[in-house]
Amino acid sequence: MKKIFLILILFLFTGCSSYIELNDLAIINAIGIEKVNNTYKMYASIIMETDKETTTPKTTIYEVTGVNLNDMLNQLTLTLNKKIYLSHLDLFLLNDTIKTQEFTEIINFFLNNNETREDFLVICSKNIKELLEKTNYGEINDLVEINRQEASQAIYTTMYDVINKFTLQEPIYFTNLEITEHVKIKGLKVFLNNNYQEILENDSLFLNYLLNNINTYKYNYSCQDNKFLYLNILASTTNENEKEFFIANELKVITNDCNLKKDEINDIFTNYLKTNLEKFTEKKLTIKNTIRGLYENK
Amino acid sequence: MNYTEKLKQETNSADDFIYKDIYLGKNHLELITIETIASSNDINNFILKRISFLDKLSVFDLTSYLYNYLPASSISIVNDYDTLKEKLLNGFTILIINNQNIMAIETRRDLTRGVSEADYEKTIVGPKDAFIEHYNTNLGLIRRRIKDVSLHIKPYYLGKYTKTKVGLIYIEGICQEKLVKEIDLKLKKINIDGILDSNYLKKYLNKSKSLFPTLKGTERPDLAASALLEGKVLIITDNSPEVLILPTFFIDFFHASDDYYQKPLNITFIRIIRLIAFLIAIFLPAIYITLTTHNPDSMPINLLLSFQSQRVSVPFPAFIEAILMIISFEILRESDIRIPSSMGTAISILGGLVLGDAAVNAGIVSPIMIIVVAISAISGMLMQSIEAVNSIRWYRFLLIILASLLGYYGIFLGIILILTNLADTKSQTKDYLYPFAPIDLKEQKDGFIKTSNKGLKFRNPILSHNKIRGKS
Repeated sequence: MKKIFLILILFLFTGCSSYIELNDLAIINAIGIEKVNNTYKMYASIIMETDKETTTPKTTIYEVTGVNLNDMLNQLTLTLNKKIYLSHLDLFLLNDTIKTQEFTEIINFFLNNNETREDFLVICSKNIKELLEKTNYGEINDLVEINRQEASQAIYTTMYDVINKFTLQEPIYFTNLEITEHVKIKGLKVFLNNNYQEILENDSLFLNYLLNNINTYKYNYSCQDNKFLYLNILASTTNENEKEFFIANELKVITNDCNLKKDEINDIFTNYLKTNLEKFTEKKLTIKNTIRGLYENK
Repeated sequence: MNYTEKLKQETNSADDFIYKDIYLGKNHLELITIETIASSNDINNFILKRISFLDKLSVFDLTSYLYNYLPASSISIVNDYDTLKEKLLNGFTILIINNQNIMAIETRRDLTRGVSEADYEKTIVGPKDAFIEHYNTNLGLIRRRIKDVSLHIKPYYLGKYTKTKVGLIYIEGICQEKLVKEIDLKLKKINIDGILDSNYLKKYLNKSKSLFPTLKGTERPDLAASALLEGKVLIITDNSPEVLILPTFFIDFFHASDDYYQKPLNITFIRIIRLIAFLIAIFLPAIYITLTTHNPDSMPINLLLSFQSQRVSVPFPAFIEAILMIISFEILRESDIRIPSSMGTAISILGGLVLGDAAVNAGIVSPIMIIVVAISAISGMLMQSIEAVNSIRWYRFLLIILASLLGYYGIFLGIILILTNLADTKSQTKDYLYPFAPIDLKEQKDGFIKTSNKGLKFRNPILSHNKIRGKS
C-alpha cells in the first residue's frame, strides 16, 4: 500500500503535464522591447527552420503590442497558434524607453518564468526592429564577444547581470549597437537612477579600465618621421583601495620603429593611460558617483 | 520376479533395451544394455569376446573372474534394483550371473561433440577452447588448467527423471568453506523433474529479485579457472556447455577473460568503453525522449531544430516511436537467433531496409530515432552475458517509461531505483556492487580500471581468506 501511495505521489505531483511536442513550439531566439505611448511594443524573432546550407536558423520577426510582457506573449501565442518557448532566448534588445518601471516588470517576468534562463545577452539600441530584421543573434553575439576580447570596448551583459545590478541599484552597462550599412558597436550605455548615459567607443575603453573589464587591445603611438610604436596590451588588472586605483598592464611590443627602450615605452603608455583616464573622469562627472572611488581620486 | 522381468515390465520392453542370455556350462549369464547410449563395440570387444573364451572353464568362481579380468576401467557390483537401473541408464552394461550376482561394466558411448571454439564469449587473444555438453570433458578442461589436488569436486545427481550429474567445484584453501556449504545446501534442496541445462539451476541458486544477473555462466575454461583461483565456486552440469560461476558481482560483467592477457592500459580503456556502452544502452533512448518531450531546453538550438524537422512527418509521440523501434529490433534479434544461418543474410537485408529506409520514408519513425535505438542496441551487445544483455533491455524500458512521463526527473528516479536495487542485491550473501558499495579501494585496481599486475597481488578479500596470491 505504501509503495502504491509513493508511486502515485511521484506521478501525480510531478511534471506529467509538462509534455511538449517539438513541432508545437514557437522557439524565440531574440526579443526586442520598446515602450511607445504607455504601451509596450515587442519584436520577437522566431526560428522557423534551419538553413541546410549554412546551418543557421532562419527567423521571422513578429511584432505585437501589449500592456506588459505576458500580455504580448499571449498575443503572440494567438498569432502563431504555437506554444511560446523562451528557453532558447539568446538576445534581448531594449532602447532608451525602457526605464526603471519597465525594468521592474521585465525582471519580474524572467524571475517568475521557470522556462527561461537568465544567461542571454542584453543589448541596447535605438534601431531594435532593424537590428532584428537585418542581423541574427550569432552575428551580434560574435560582434560583442570579439570586441570585448580584442578591443575591450564592449561589455557582455546578461539578464542575470541586469537583475543583480538593478536589484542592488548599481549602474547597468549595456553594449550599444547601431545599424547603418552594417551593425557596429557604438560604445556603451549606462543606466542608473532612471536615466541613460551614452559613453562612446574610446571612452568605453577607459570605463572598462575602471571596471576591471580589460582583456586585450592594441595601442598605436606615433613618434617622428612616420614611425610607430605598436603595443599589444595582453592583460590588465585594476585594483582599488580607499584612495587610489592601481592598474597593472602586461605589454607586448609588436613594432618598435622608434627604437624606444623598455622604460620609455612604459612611460609613454602610462602617460597615455593617465591622461585619458583623467579626461574621462572629468568628462563623465555625472557618473562619478556610480564608480566607486572615482570622484575621490580625480 | 527377477530383475530382468521387472525391468522389461517397467520399460514396457523398450526397443533399445537389449537382453541377451549366455549359457556357459551350468552358468547362466544375462547381459542387459541400452544400445542407444552404450557402445556396442566396447560390449563386443571387452565383454562378449572375453566371455566367449570361458566356454569350457566353468569350474571356478565366474563373478570373481569377470570382476578382476574384464578389461574395463569401471566395474562395480550392484546390490539393488535402483542402482542397476541407474547404471544401465548411464550407459553401463549389466551382467547378471546365475540370477544372483550383478555387475555393472562401463560401456558408455561417446555422444558428445569435440571441444570447439567459444561461441558467444569470443576473444582475440588467449585460449580458444570452450566447454561442451560432456561433464567429464568439461571437468578435464578445468583440471588441465589447475593441476592441484586441492581442486575439489562434489558430485550431485539432480532431477527426478534426468538424474543429471552436477558438480560443485572449488579450490580448498582459497574458497571459503561457508560459501561451499551454502551452495551445497541449495543444491541438495533442489527437487525438480529434470535438469537439461545448467540454466535450470539458476533459479535455485539465485534468489535475488534484481533484474541484473547474480550468476554468470561461461563457456570458457580459462575464465572458469580464473574464477576458481579468485575463490569462487563453479557449478558444472552434464549436458550443458555453460559452467556457472558463483558468486558474481556487477563488475564481473564488464570483465572479459582476455582482459588479463593484454596491457593494463588497453584493458582500462576497453573497460571504460564497456561502461560507457552500458550507460548508452540503458539511458540513450530515455534521454532522447526526455529531450524531445520534456526538456528541449537542454539541447543546443541547432540540434533542437534538427530534431524538430525530423519529427515533422512522424505521427506518433516519441515514446510510441521508441517502443515501436525497440520491439522491431527485438523481433529481428530473436528471428536472427532462430532462423537457419543460410537465411540470416536475407533477414538482415530485409530488417535493415525495413528498419532503416522504408520506415523513415513511410513517416513511421524519424531517422534520429533509428540512430538512437541502433546505438543503444549495439552498445547493449558489448556485455558478454546474454542475461546481462536481457536485463539491460528491462532497465531501458523502465527508463523510457519514466522519461516519457516525467522527463529528467523520471530518469533520475530511475537511476535511484536501479542503484538502490543493485545496492540491495546479494550474490550468495556477498554485496553485488562490491568493490564500489561497500567501497574497497584496493579492489578498484581491477574494477573499471586495471593497474599493472603488481597491483593485483591480493585476492578479493570477501571471497577468500587466503589473501595473497601465490602463497599457500
